[in-house]
Order: sequence, then C-alpha cells, then structure tokens
Amino acid sequence: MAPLRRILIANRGEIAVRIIRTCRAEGLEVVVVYSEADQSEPHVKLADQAIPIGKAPAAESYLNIANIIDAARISGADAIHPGYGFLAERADFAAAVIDAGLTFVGPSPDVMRSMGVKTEARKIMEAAGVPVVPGNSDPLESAAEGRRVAEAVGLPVLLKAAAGGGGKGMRLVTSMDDLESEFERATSEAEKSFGDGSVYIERYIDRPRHVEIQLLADGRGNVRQLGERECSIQRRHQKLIEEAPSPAVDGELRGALGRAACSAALAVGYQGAGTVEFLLAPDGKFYFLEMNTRIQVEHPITEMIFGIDLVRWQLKIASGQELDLPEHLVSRGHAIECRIIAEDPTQDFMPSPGVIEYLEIPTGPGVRWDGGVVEGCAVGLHYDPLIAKLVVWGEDREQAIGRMRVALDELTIVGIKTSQPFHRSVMRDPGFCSGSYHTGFVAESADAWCELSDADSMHFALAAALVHKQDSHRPPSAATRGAKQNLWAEQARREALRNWQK
Amino acid sequence: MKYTASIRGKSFEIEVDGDCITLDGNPVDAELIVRGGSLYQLRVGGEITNLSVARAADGWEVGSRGTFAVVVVEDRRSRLLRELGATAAAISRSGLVVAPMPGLVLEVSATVGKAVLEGEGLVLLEAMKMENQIKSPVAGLVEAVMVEAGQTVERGAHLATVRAEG
Repeated sequence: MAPLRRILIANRGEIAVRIIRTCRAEGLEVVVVYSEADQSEPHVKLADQAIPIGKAPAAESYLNIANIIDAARISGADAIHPGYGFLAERADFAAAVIDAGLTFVGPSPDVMRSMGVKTEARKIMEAAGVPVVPGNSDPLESAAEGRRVAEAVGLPVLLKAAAGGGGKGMRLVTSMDDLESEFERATSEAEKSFGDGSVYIERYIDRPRHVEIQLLADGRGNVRQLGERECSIQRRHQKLIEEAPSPAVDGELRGALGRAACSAALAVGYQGAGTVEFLLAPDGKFYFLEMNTRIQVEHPITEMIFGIDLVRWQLKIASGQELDLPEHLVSRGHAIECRIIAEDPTQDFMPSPGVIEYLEIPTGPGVRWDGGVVEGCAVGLHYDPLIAKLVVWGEDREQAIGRMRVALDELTIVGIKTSQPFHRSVMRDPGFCSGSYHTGFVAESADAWCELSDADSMHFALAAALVHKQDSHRPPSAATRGAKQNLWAEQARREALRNWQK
Repeated sequence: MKYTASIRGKSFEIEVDGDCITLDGNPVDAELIVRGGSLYQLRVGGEITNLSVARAADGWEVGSRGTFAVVVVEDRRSRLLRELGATAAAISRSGLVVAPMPGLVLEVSATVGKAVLEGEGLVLLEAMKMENQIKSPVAGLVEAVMVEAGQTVERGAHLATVRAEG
C-alpha cells in the first residue's frame, strides 16, 4: 500500500479541526468538504482545499455519499477520514470509498456491518469469550418468545433494538404483564428510527457504570489496548463528562477489561482505532455493550494520559504501517474531558442556537481545547450541538479536577448558552469528587447547576443597574432600536426551535 | 439615581450618584468597565468579574462563566409607570388598553384582527422624552385601535382593545 499523501475529511466542527492538525503535523495535505451553512467555519479556513458538497441539512451534504466521493475525486485525495458521527459507522460508505479506489481510514465494511447489528455483535463476543449481558442473541420472533427469554433471564429486562443506539427502541420491563405492550412499542420505535423492527432482550443492570477500552489494531494480529475511559456522566445516553483512568477500575479489572477488548478486536480482525464499551455492574462484573468502529469524541483523555496521538496512528494503520507500539503501554496521571455543548442546562438542556459574539478560551499547564468554533460562528440546529471539548491533564485525579475548575472559570462564551455551568457544578459535586457515581448521576442530581450564588446575584444586580443607568442616558430612539433587533433575533430563534422540535 | 434591581426573587436597592454607589444603604467600592459589545468588567473592591449584559425582553440578561439570569431594573420613573400600568391592567381586564400617562403616539403596531402575545407592544408612546411601549395585557386578537401615529393622548385615553384568547 502506498503512503498516504492527501486526506479528505468527511466531517465538520471540532473533530474536523482535530484531524486537520494531525494531518498537517504529519506533512499530509488536507481536503475538507462543507455545506452551505459552513462556508466560513474553522475547518474550511484551516484546510488546503475545501469543496462544497450541498445544502445545510446533513442529509444533503455530510451524509451525501456520492457528493463526498466526487469531492475526493476532484481534489485528488487518496484517503477519506470519516471522523465520528455522520457516515463514520456506515458500512455502505466505507464500501463506496474502497470501490472508488480510495483508502478508508477505519476498519473493513464487513467489521462495521457486524458491529452495527447488536445481536450479531453479541454473538461474535460470546464466541470470543467476552462476557455479554444475560439475554438472547437473535431477534425475538414474538412477544411470547420474549416472555420465555425474560423468564429465563429474570426481571427486570431491557428490550433493545438490534439496529439501535442512543436509547431509541429501548424499553424497560419490570413486570411480565407489561412485556407484550412494551414489545410492541419497542418494535415500532425501532422500525421508525432504524427501518428495522428487530428487538432482543438483555437483563437490566441497575446503577451501572459505563467504561470503555480504547484499542489500536493493525489487522495483522497486532492489538494494543490503551486503558479505559469512564463515561458514566451522561444524560439520556449522551455523554457529558469523561475521565481516564476510571476511579472504579483497579489494575486487576483493567487487565481483565483490556484482555476482553483485545480478544473482541482479534475475533473480528479489527483494523484501526476502535472502542469496546462495557457496562460495569456494582458487583464488579462487566459486560460487553457495543463496539464503536471509529474515533470517539472522548479520545483526547486517552491521548493525554498515554502521550499518544490516536489520529496519527489511525493514519499510519490506514497507510499499511505495522502497529509497532510497545506491547505494554503505560499511562501517566489523570485526564478529564467536559463536552461544551450549545444547550442550556438550566432549561433542561434545550438547544441554544445563536452567534458566538465573544469567546475566551482557557489555557495553561495541562489544558487542551479541541474546538470547532471561533468568534462570529453561528451555531445552528442542523448539526451536533458539541462546540468544543475542554480537556485537562493532572498528575493525579485531584489535580485534574482542580485544573478543570480553573479552566471552566476562565472560559467565557457570550452569545449562546452552553453546558459550562453544568460542568462547573459537577466539578464541585461531592459524589463526582469522591469518584463514586454511576450512569444515573445527572438524572438524580438536584439541578445544582441552575443555582445562582449570593455573590453572583449581587454582582449581576449591580452590573445591570449600572448598565441600565448608562443606557438611559442614550437617546431613546437608539435604545428602542436595540430592543427591536433583539425581538427579531428572539423571534428567529423561536422559529428555528419550533422547526427543530419537529 | 435610585434603582431597584430584582433577580430571581431577590431585590437590591442600588443608588448611583456620580462615582458613589450604595447597595441596600451600604456604600460599595464598585466600578463598571466597558469592554465593548455586551462585555463588561465589574470591579467590587479588589475583585473583578467578567460579565456580559444584554437587553432581554423584560430586563437585562447578565451572564458570567456560563451562568445567566435576568435582572429587572426599575428607577423611580419606571416603577411609577408599572404602578400606573397595574391600574391600567385592572381596567383592561375587559381587554381595553389605556395610556398610562399623557404623551405623543409615535407608532401603532396593533392592527385590527392581529394576533398578539401577552406583553407584545401595541402602541409606542413618547412621554417624558422617553419612548414607552404600551403592551398587551393578554394574549389574543386586536379588536379595535382607537389612536393613530402623531396623535397626542391624555392619561387614561383608550388606545386599543384586545380580546383574550380562549
């Protein structure tokens, strides 16, 4: 295989920027694609070539396989990096890239296909000796069969969509009386969301932690595991904060998780960077959840503690190089990531689109900002609300938390509401600081991030009174003009939100 | 000038006289530094806080480190207007909107048959050299408009009627 020369990145936002940086450091040329909404986005400015691929809705641009392959042909790219999201786990996209004579930075379409179907993935893992949650590995034929499986496994159970993800088509069954109706609902939800109504059963594990193992594999028998990431701070199955290593994993458990993940990768002949997700039960038992066949959003925390650039290794492996990292990789210190999303945590994480009027990014020892926005950027409703990832590294967990608190205090974003107050609150939460938390953390928290301190109340009141005084000295027409503009902006925002909810 | 600043159920009495500021009667060594746009720096004693202050529908939206809250600031004049408005609102329970003070009608945005939201501006009235939006007390349909731009009105003059929805 010839070394790669020019990479097309089929993505946008922070991950496109992240991949561009590694490509440039490796001396590779970068081609990006962009939608009509993104012509002045940072990834377009940073690339060597930028090719428009369609209208703002993702289905007409970042999910348009034909246009992306055309863009690669026009630009003379020899490989496509899919990032995460969009087409990153679409086997048909990987196949189309290969058919066009290009290199796909990721595993083979066959591996992606088998890992994409949850029941298939379960079967492969079981065969490889990786523990799976007690349940069944074939789609249920009927509610009656579901009843038999549920009786064998023991209540409560989860009905899950075979083609699923993100909590869609997932129903909790606590009583046999509900099984039939929940089966119907899960089937119809799965049919609507994924075009495939197949569902299967897994035992419900209460208060689990979500722990995942990062892997690198070259498809030639070399696999390395880069420890775990703890991802239990989630809301509706969306991760918000991750850390590595996990406060719940000791050396012995880490070894067992790592061995299970490596056998999973070897069983499917995995190639590239991948992640095996596990549920960790309160009793210390762990179960295979799913395998993500792409770079993860939270990959930087692994990079920070191992001192490794995972995107660089993705590119090396894609260009046919051998994975010649030492057999046993050693991590150092502790890393935390906060996902800065354009959602208002005080309004039940409602989307907060708008223009970033002002942005002050934290810096300092051990602080990393993987951002996809700059001042003047419009954050719309077309794409993922993730605008940046704030990552810190510390010699130990305590120092990392301290550094994250400082970094979050330094961060200033004006123009849109973000998850910043949520993160600031969690970094001071006794449960989080002690390290004992599970996936129910956000749901069970008393919305501490909505509170306003006495000092803030006083400062806000003073500032508002002083601005009010200055403002009332301005000619009245100017003051009302400002108000009118804001009303228009507010109305536009409401309209956009209304459409988004549909 | 004396102000009442209300934020999430708390009220602060703030008096600003040149460089002298008092908060609930106690002098505070505070200063507001304009950084441009909606950005400000508030210095209280030796402590500096970066803030954004932007006009919101019903007051000022102040933000710091990602936390936002709306502050309603009233001076003597706007408190008076509000109190008069309260009387006007009582009158307009029937849907009648009256002028809370004498003034010149600058703009009429209400038109018969138009659907309006509660708090939506109906008539722009200039009084005391200030422009005041006279807002609809209820959400509903504009039934009648009794004034036009350029007209002077007395306090209590009928401006419009809004029929409440539902």
